[in-house]
Amino acid sequence: MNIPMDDRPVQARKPLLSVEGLSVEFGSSRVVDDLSFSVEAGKTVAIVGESGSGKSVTSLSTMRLADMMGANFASGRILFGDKDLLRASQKEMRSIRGKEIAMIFQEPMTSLNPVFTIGDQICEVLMLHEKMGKSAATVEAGRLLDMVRLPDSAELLTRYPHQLSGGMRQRVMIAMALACRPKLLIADEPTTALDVTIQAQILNIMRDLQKDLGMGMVFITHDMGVVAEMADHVVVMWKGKKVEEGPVKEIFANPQHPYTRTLLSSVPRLGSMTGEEFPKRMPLTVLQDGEPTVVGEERVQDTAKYDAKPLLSVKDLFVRFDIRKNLFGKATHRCSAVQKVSFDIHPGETLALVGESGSGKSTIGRTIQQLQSAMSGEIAFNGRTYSSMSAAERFRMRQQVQYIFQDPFASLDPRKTVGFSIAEPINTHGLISDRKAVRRRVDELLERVGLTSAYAERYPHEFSGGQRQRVCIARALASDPKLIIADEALSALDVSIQAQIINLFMDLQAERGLAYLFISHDMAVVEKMSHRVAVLYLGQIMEMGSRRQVFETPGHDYTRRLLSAVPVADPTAVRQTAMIEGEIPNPVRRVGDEPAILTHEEINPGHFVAKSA
Amino acid sequence: MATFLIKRLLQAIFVVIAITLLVSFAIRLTGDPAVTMFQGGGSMTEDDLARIRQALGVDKPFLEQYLTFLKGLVTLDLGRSFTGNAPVTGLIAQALPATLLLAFVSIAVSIVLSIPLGIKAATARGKWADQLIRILSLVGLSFPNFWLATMLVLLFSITLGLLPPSGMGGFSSYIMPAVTMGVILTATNVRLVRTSMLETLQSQYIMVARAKGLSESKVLYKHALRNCAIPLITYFGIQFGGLLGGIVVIERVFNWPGLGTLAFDAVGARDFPVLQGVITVLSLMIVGINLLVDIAYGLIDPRIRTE
Amino acid sequence: MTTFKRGMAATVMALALSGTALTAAPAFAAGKLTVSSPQDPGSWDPVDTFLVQWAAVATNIFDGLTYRGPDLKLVPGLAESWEELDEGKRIRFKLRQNVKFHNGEPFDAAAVKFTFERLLGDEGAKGPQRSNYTAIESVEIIDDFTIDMKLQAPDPVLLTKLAGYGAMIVPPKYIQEKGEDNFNTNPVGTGAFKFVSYTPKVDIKLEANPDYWAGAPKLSELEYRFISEPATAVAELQAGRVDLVIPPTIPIGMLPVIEGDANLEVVSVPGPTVDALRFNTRDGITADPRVRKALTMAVDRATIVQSLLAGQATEIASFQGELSFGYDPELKPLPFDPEGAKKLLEEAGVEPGAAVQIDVRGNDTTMNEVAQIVASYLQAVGITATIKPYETNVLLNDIIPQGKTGAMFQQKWGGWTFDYDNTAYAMYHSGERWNPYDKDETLDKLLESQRPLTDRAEREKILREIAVYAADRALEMPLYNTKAIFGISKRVKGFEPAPDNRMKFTGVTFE
Repeated sequence: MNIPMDDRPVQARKPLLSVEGLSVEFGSSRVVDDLSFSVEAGKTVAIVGESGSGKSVTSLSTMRLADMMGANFASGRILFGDKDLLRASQKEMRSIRGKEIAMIFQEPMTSLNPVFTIGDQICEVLMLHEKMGKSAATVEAGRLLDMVRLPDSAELLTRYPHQLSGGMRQRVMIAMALACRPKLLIADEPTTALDVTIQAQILNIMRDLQKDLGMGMVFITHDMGVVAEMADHVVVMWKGKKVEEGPVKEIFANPQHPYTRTLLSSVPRLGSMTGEEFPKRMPLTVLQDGEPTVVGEERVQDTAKYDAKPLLSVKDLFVRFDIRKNLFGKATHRCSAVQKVSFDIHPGETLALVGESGSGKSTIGRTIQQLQSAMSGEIAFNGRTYSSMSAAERFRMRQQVQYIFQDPFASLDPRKTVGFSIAEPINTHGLISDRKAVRRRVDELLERVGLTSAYAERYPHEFSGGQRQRVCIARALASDPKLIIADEALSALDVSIQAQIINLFMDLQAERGLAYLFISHDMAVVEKMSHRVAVLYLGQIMEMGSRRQVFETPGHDYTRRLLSAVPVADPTAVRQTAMIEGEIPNPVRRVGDEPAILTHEEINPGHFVAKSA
Repeated sequence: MATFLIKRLLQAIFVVIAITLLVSFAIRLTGDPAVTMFQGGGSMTEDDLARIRQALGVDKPFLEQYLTFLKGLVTLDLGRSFTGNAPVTGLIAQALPATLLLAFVSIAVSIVLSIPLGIKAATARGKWADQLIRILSLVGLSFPNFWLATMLVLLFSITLGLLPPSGMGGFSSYIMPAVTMGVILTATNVRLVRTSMLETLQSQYIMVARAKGLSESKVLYKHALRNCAIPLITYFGIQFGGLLGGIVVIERVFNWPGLGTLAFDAVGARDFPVLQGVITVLSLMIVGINLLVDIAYGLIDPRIRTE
Repeated sequence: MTTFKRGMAATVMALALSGTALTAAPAFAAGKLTVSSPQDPGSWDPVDTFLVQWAAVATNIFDGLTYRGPDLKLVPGLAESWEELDEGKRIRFKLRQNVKFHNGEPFDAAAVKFTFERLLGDEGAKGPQRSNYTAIESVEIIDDFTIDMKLQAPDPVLLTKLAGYGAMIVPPKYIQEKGEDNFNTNPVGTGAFKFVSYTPKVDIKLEANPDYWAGAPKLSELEYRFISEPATAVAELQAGRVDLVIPPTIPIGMLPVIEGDANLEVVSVPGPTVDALRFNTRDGITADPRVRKALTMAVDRATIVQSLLAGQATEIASFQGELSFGYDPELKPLPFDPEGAKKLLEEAGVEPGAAVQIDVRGNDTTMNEVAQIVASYLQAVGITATIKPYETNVLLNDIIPQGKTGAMFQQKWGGWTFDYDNTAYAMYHSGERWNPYDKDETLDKLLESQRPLTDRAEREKILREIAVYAADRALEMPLYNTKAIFGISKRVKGFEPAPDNRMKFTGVTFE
């Protein structure tokens, strides 16, 4: 197996990996059905599909790691060179894994073992497969870290995973995967959990290294933007089956299968709203009886009442957490999560808070919902400040302001029916006392969010992710709120579901004059649904203005950087070649060393930009 | 680190004072050592009792007695036993190693058994090996320790004549006490290791370790076990307190000359100085174990060490 | 997986190894007797303790002026003879000559004087033993081997008391030179066995004293191991690592285990311990002697002794056993007569359903069972009894002396002197600690009158009178005198059980 791969004649054209008629079953359920595709050396095949489409099982089957999860390979072959991996023993596989075929996983935060140093974990592979000694391995590990453009590699080798950011960890994972120069790299959603600017950096590194090493790559993702940027060839999977396959440009320009067509139509594309003053509710292409059908109306979301008094007004809000304390319980290190943030939300308006991890956007939401206390500053609802309210009044506020979380499963009690969960705020606030009336209200709400009243008797685990988020929305609506804080409420959903929920949000806003505080890291989604946008960085507002002002004439460097990092779901688009560099700094600082507070400048009416300190 | 140690020291002092104060006070409510000395018989007079109380120093007010005890504690002078007048420090110095040895051998037995069995159960989840190990651990949990001890004595000492039924002597005398304690500890620990292992095996880094091509034993014993160690050590630390309680029973059954026997006899004889001494040592041991657990956290988990 | 298998293999191997390497060696060593005793007294100094487990060992290390063997006859010990002078207020002892302490120090009049001055002085004041010897005013040396013991008042039990406990003769020079602390754990006496080593809570080892004045013991070594758990002591006996288990260790429930072992046997003798349920004679229904008699008659004590105690006890009529000085074989227990009891209760005006509480020692399993049966007998005559177990110390310290008991309470008593005075005075004399309820001038006078008498027959008469008087007033429900139970290996020959647990093993040999 020690053939130097660079010497392989290109004209041989024999695929590196060839999956033929693969079917994988877990118990009685078939999760991959008769799948075939092949990967050539130096090329990238993207496997695209939504959750449950079988794409991850395909990659784990290739590594034969699916065995440990109880997978049964019902049919097919996975040829790697001349070897059928499905017939190989685990012992044989161990000499292939990490050496010939390497894999990068989705969650960089949990992919590295927290109790071993970065160096140990990289050296382990080199010592295992390359039979290197500890010192030689350490030298090589340092070189690999340089290769993924991590600074101070020698020092980094002695660090532990928790001391590194997510982006750095994913680079370490890439270095580890490439340690033995594998012929094939399988990357399973490698950038999904990362912030956009970091994602852009990682994708750049992967593209460059693939070119340098000439390896084949299987790239698994649900993000069509990433597909457009990375893939040579695309395999579209749907419910365990391959529905379409072709060169990337072909797939984007001329999708054949109805599923591919609806998928592409659901993808929010940055810049699609250029020239529009207000957000727009767009019709959706959904798969009906196997055919893509356009449903719903197109409507300008002109719901914000700017002439009315602000519904919510946040003024000079500061939130800090004590991170470390000394012997006497006095804080020595603090996280300045939110620094002098001010904004208003008007009735019927959607204000988006965008930013990367550590920007403080969720903290602001939690402070408004009284899940977190502010250090200073004022929050006023309907003109009354929280500080002037009695405890009972503040409790009633929780009826007026509702919160929807990213993870709908975690926010529903698994032992209670969803009907019970939806009725809970009604009962808590004593809105309706008659039991039958409560039941009617629950049925109404379920129907309003696109479910049927029969679902009330079911338990959360019986629902799909999208349905659960609808349940959460129904619960939020139950107390008839004025403001809904949606904290990354769409991030965990597949794009087609995401598009439906966006429309549901917009319809509810039009119907009830709801205001939204929409917290998100996804610029394309924000562009689609917000009236105004505030860009946050390290707890401070960098830029705030109408959606059009911020997206079309961004006034701050950071906003521009953020926008340029978003992958464009168009393989023909000219790629941003300028390298995005730099990590997001840690917001935890020593007490007394608080970050400087920026002042803002109004560059256009309603368009504020932070002046650099 | 200095802050940490100072905190621990203050905590230790507080714990020792709180516990000894409580115990000293409570035990004095339950009987007069002078009367106890007469064994409920003998023709004693109030004069005799007063004379003995004075000799023992229990005629003084409680707080004065307690302060004398605390003062002595600083100079490691824990007073003298009411039964036999031996210095308490000497009695403890003799009993402590016996108890510690038994405790550590038991823990060692338990660790040697529970880790491989727990890992086996976790990796064979739902299969027969797992079922068997879980049933055995349930059986082990439902043994009263004295019953198990008695059964072992019947089998190994009386029927087979292989092991001494009681007493502390050579290596052979450790086997049954340590196995009795060890089996009962193992029964709980196996379940703990299994649960903790199952959780760890779900982690992404285990998948990553396998994807590197590492052997299963490396994945389990290097990558997974070390991550399981934190909950395990926390539990072992807590268990140590309970273990000392269980040791009182085991020491009695196996006539082991440890702290349990010392304390048991001291309670019976209302031997306040010995009891106070034993309780002080036990609370210091618990504080010490917690300290060791904290230090072990740091050694095992860099996230804690580098905080 | 492989590591798992390896681990298991190692464990199995360790177990196998341990099995072969450690075959326990039974106590076959040339003439070594190993005795299991339930308690370590902590100190071997005679002034320090009341524990029978001290005496069990110490009788082999020390001698008194007098000696009382298993037959309970008083014979010369370190004193060859004695005579009572001055109407019992002075006793002259002729001492045995050519006796040496184990350290070589000679035994003489000075040692006797030292012993009693120590007992009655500051050192003795720290311990409980002195209270037994307060009758002694002084010891005067007449010559090297003659002493006069002057008494404040005649004490008829004194000669018996000189046979044990605080009156053991100790070596003056050794104690003065090595100090009191050393003596606690390194005892030296004139006895049949010499002290070798002592490990607290573990054992004390002795070796034969070849120069013993009464003849060297046949055994070469004697070891006492302290084993408090009965099951453990019996297991050691079965395993052959202990040759003799002395009381109070073996509960009646374990007798079948020993009897079922071909190598072992049970030996028992009437002991000093008597159990009674005493009455609150001051308050409640038991203030009426008719009620007390009725309650006694309602309980079939003979059946309890036969069935529950497996015959390891004898029924008593007064609060003393058959070996006690003052025991009257003519005095019979009240008969079991439920009908008579009912009649008496009716006479006394006690309504059916009246309640009594029985306080017992919580750790005394036998008494707890006995109390249950007593309660059911009482139920049959319409008395509802509830049993309240107390921690022994609490019962002895607070409940009884302070008169906080129920209508009935357990009293367990056992004087090693086997003299009824010791019991009766403490139980019946007004103001005594163990007599919280009763005041009876007649009884007080009787008790006081026998104390100065040195005429044994006269004193015995009065003691019997006291027993009859107490029975007539039904001051307690006499239950039984338990036997001292020994478990012994059949290999041990020449063993004679002593009712007071003090056995000199000079005549013991192995088969």
